[in-house]
Amino acid sequence: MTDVATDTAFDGDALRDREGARRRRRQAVRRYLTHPAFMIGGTVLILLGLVAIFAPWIAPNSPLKTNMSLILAGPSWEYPLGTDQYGRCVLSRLIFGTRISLQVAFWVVTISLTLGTFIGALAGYIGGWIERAIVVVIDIVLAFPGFLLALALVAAQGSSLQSVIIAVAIAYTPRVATVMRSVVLTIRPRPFIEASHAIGLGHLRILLRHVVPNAMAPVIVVATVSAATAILAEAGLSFLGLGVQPPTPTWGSVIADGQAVITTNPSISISAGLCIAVTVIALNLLGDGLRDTLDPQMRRQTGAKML
Amino acid sequence: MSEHDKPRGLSTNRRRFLQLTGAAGLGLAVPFNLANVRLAHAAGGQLRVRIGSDISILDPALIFQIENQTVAGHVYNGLVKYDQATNAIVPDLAREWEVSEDGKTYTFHLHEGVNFHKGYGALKASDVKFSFDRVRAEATGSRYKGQFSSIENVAAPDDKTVVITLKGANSGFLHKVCAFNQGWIVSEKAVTEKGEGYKLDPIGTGPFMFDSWTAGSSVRMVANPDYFEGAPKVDEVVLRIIKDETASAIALENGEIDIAFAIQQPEVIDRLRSANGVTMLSREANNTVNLVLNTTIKPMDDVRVRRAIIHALNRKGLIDGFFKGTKAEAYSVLTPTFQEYTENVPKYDYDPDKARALLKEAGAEGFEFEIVTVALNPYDKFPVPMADDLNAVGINTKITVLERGAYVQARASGRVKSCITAVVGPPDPDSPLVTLFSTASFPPGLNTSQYGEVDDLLDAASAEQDLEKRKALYEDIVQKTMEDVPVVPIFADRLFMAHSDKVQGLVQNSLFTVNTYSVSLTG
Amino acid sequence: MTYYLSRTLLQLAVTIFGIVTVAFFLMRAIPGDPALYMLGDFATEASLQALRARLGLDLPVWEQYLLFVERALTGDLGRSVVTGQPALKEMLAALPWSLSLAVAGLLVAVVIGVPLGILSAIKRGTWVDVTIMFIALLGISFPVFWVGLAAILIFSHQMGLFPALGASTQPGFWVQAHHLVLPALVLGLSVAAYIARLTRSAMLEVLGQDYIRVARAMGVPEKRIFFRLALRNALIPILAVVGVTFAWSLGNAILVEVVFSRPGLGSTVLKAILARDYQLVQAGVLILAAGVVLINVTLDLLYGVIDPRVRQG
Repeated sequence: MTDVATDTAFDGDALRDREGARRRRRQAVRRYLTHPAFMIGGTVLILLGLVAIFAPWIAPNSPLKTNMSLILAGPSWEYPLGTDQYGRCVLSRLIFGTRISLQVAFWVVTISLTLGTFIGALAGYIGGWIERAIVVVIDIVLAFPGFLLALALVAAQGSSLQSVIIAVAIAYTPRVATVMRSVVLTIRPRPFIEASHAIGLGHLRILLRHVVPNAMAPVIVVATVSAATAILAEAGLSFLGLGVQPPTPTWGSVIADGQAVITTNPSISISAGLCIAVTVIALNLLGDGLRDTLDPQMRRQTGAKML
Repeated sequence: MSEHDKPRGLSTNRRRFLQLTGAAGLGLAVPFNLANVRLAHAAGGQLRVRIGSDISILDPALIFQIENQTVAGHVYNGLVKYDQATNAIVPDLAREWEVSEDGKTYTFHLHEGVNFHKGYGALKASDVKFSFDRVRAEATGSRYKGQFSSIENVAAPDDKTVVITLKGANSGFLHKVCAFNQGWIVSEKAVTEKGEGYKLDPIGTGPFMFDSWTAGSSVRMVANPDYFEGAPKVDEVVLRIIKDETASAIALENGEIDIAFAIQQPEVIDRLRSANGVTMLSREANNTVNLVLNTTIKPMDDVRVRRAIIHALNRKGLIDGFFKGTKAEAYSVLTPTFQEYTENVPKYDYDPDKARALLKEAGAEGFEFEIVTVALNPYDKFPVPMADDLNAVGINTKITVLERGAYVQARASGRVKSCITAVVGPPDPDSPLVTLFSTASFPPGLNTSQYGEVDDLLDAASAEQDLEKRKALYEDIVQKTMEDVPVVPIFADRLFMAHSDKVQGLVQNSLFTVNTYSVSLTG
Repeated sequence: MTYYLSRTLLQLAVTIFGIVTVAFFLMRAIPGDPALYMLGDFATEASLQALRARLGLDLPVWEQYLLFVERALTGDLGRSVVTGQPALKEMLAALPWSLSLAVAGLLVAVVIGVPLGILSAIKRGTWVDVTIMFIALLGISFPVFWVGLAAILIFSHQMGLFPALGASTQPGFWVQAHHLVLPALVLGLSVAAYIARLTRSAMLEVLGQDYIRVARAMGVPEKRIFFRLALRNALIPILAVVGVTFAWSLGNAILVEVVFSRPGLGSTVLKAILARDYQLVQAGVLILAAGVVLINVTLDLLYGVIDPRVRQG
């Protein structure tokens, strides 16, 4: 209901100039490498990815092993962040929790990006009553606060990693679709699209070859933001006890477990909160970097849509 | 961080200092604090009690959950009641009663001058008949219909006399008409008039009248000045819904509430025990918390596997470690609060090697097991170390935490491999034993084990008039069920509640509810 | 304008109808039987049937739907399956709690977020900008329930400044306002961070427009450029931002309500979802979503008033 299409974002003609394209690619790489936000965000995320992949080797202990004689122990060499009320190693749980959060972020982005891009591109490109119908449906879904929708969907499917991912992805797909559509709307009347029509290229081919690649930049920016939102949403669901089943280590459930002992052992909840915050900050920095680098003018459309 | 490590006086001084300076700094805070202080004095009669979740239905025929039962306990009376302190059955609305020679006829004589709340008139024997018949009627859909299955007929020959005829002698019958659940007496006029609205507009004869309910926030009850045993000492009771126990503890210490009811978290219990100006009460509950094994699913149909499971569980470790001794060991599903309690039963030590051996013997090594539990503290927590114990002996255990509705449904299907079940109720041995072991309570009842080996013994025990023989029969039942272990008692429950020093005369019961009739406020 | 208005209202009607439909079928998709929930442990098949019949749960789903729509049109949103109270009444009772939290939160957010965003845009590239944007980044990166817990720990437990409970059992404006401070701050600060970021973008974009460059070239003083030209033109995008964040903050409000044990629409819907209380969820979702739609429509109309170009578009 509030899409404000902007214009003059992409220079279609220049794209066909191969020499220029190569030069621009080199410049772009340089721009990325010198953009501090992008570099910091990217580095932190790569590190987190490594932690997730190598969790079994990095973690000092099993994240699941309970120990009834070592409950809420303070930090030690064996348990660098102490233990929780089941005697489990908090650090190991946080390290393994990285896996869940990144998985949620990855799958939510993959699903909502694929679906959202497709739906948005379809609506923007085809137009007519299909577009109107899609827009109405998107408006309806957007009228539900995203978190509430995810909550209801998880309750519907029963809590598991899968249903958390599906729920959050469904809740955030329309947001991607909205951005995609408004971007496509701005490219559709461009001369190179009309030219493609004129030389008889099929619709699907035009859509795939020209419209989607041109619209990818803003959508990627939206993707980083929805990854951040997905991580926060997973944590919120876990906190309400609707997330992944125990004893699976997730950052949200570490906060929830720690809540019971927050006055005596605040470090448990605090450290898990910091993990979430660091990841979300990294994703946002990456998003900011991408936005600045990909196209400074995109700011407004993606800005207003990124929620 | 840890406030109570420091000398208390210093810390409260510091708190007050911060309050003052902070208030001045913020400017706005001053009138709020003053307002708080003034109101607290003006409404000295308001008792604020923390409950853990919202109320839903206050109609005794449909009631469930300790929060609803807590409200109902203030609003209603029964014919008889459990003494809060001793659990002895004592007169309530019935000032006296007689039992016929053959044990089949009970005659109750009602108190004079008992009135229903809000002008619903005097209590009549017909109200008692109405209340009981209503629970017994199929159309009501009462969850307690089965509790009255021994009743043949309820009659009200005059306004002050109730005669109940039983199908057969039942020595435990008084438990069924005690002031709890189906035993609470409603006003016929009010139920008829209010219809659906009665669920949250209850009319009883109790010391407090239901006043209002703010969904998700609070329940207000006001004193009944005409209560037949004398008006309560506080003007009103506000039940405040606070889900998180840590927040409840902070609120209690801050003086935002007076009583924190149903505290489960061992760390919060610890903290409140050492807190200044707070008294921690605790009492054995009438129930154990159990792991119910479904004997219709392989390999749990094999008693060796069930014994392997109970040997694999470090129940003592759970109680001492996770619960920090706030719960007690259980030898059967009967707790020491029952007259029929016995320790003369087969006992199972924590013995992982024996568990492995039993599994090997039964050829069930490495089988897939699932514990279904409910998303309520502590039921969603203690299965975590249990699953770890089971995994250690090679039983691949998964925990499934379900929110209450889904949990009840899964359990009622009778198809879960195991589930966590606690039968919270009065100290009536039928309550846990029939519920867990009778074929009458096969799913959707609570006998998720679908174990049916003690029906004859259960019937014999409830028909037995001789107290000693009756006790012996119950001992047989308990022994048999611990021999076959369809149900693993994990721990005997204990109920904790804390109150501030303002609260005087609070007596804790073992019914898992709180009753504030005896409470007065000082200061 | 009349055309614009009627088109917007029609769209509004269609959207709300869609919301009702989605809410209805979403709840029917949830496994779990409310009759069993109510009768629970001692349910017999006969008593379950009786209760289902009474609740109309034995009808085919589409018949239930038609019945629901028919009633909804007359303002009857059914009764809570669990408590038997009119669902609308239960939701409307929670509404003032939610509204006061939303308004207070939004006030905090706007009062903090908008000036910071503008300041950041004015001082673009300086340390002021970097600092403000970094703080805003922190603001959107911590889970709101975590911030709530921290606030209780520090301001209530350690300092004793504010109550740990987000609502009082005592009536009275000042008492309630005192209890509202922490929840409103926690909710407001997370939204403020978003608003600051988006306000900055909106301002920067306006500042990049040709007429601003022209004005600069003509020697119009910077202050005048900012407050007369830029701010006025940035109003629409800032309003849009506030509208978008409103819907989003309703989701966060659920968590804030839970952390502070405060009643409200969000926590009532949460409770209803968990209790499989179909009617109550429908009523709650309807009110929440209608609120979001109304805000958006109001904003749309507002743009139309501010900027005539929108009306044609």
